[in-house]
Amino acid sequence: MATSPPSSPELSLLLARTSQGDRQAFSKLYEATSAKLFGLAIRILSRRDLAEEALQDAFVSVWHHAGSFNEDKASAMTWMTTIVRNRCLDMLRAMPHEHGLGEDQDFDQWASEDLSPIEQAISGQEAHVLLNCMKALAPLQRQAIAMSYFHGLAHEQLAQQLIQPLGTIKTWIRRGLQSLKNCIAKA
Amino acid sequence: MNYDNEHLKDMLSAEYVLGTLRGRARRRFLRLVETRPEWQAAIDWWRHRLNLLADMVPAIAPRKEVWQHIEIRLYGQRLRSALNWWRGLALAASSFVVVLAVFMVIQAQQPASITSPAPTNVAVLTDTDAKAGWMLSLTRRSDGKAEMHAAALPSLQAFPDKSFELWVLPPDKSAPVSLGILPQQGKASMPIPPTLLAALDKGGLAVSLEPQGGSPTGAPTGPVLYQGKLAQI
Repeated sequence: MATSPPSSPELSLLLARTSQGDRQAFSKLYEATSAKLFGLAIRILSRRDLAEEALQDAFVSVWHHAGSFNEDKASAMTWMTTIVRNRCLDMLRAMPHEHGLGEDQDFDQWASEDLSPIEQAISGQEAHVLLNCMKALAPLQRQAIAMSYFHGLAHEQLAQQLIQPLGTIKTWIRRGLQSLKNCIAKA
Repeated sequence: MNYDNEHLKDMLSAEYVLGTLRGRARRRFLRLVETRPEWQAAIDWWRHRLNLLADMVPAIAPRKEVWQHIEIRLYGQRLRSALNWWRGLALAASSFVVVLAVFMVIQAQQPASITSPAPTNVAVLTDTDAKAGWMLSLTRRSDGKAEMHAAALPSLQAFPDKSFELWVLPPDKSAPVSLGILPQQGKASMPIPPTLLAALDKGGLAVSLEPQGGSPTGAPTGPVLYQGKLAQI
């Protein structure tokens, strides 16, 4: 899957055509984005069957709501990623509590000094900028942000998972996000 | 103060997108956003940046069945195999709909029933959410001719610049045969060639969305939005 990512204008166009009921455009859109989005769904849900269900739900939603996509507000990939992530997090929250965080979730990779495994998965330039900015954060700080993004964890849950006081977690996240903002703005 | 607001706007937007803003704080934030377009811009900024995290997970190609299921959910099924799908649904469906349909047909047709024969079969065409689009009734005359009456139901979602075309899906899975264009409101009737009656008895019905006037090719070209099957009264 090491193909270059489809350009944003290309995806926007496919979304625009999808909103007019163009099945071929929708099929192309799926071809271009489903692998990345499925990877995300698996990362969040850590079960293939659930990830498949989430991806289906998300694409059905993309078909129905393609008309509300506004490229001035978000890129096509951001828009679709949000739909997939929200669907996955909803499913995750609806699951029995013990499922919570799968043990196979390798969030530790975010706390590692060596982020090259993460780097290898990246397909677009902008994600490299973000990752470089994340490298400047303390390891546990970027782990907290990643866990929150991929598992929709609230401060309290993060505090439990990372065995840190709640106040510490809140400060980490806030300062981490502020550093990211400053770093991205400079890039 | 200005800095504080700027800072607050940024941090709340970031935590909102990340998902760590919860409960009352989240509700208060959403109220603030409503009256401040520049806060919405901050949300958009963060939404774009934080969702780049999704680009840091390895791409995994889903099985091809995933796409097939999406197509089935969106377009009904490809017409060729639609019949099997319908059969499965028909078995599961409650007979209530048919009973209701019969009742409605009989009610609707009472004034005319003195002069024309009563319908022998009825169907309700529904979409994948089981929302009804049309009620159909088939009337056979003693001279062998038959007529399909279609009544658009209020729950039908109309497409003003398109046409809904009705097809019969023969039980032998041969190509669908067009029965005509369905009305988007009110009633219409279409003559049914006697040769199609057997297919109508055992086969399924499907409605595809077509360019105005119907499919230019003689085969369905648009998505199948409604399905149904005739039931004997």
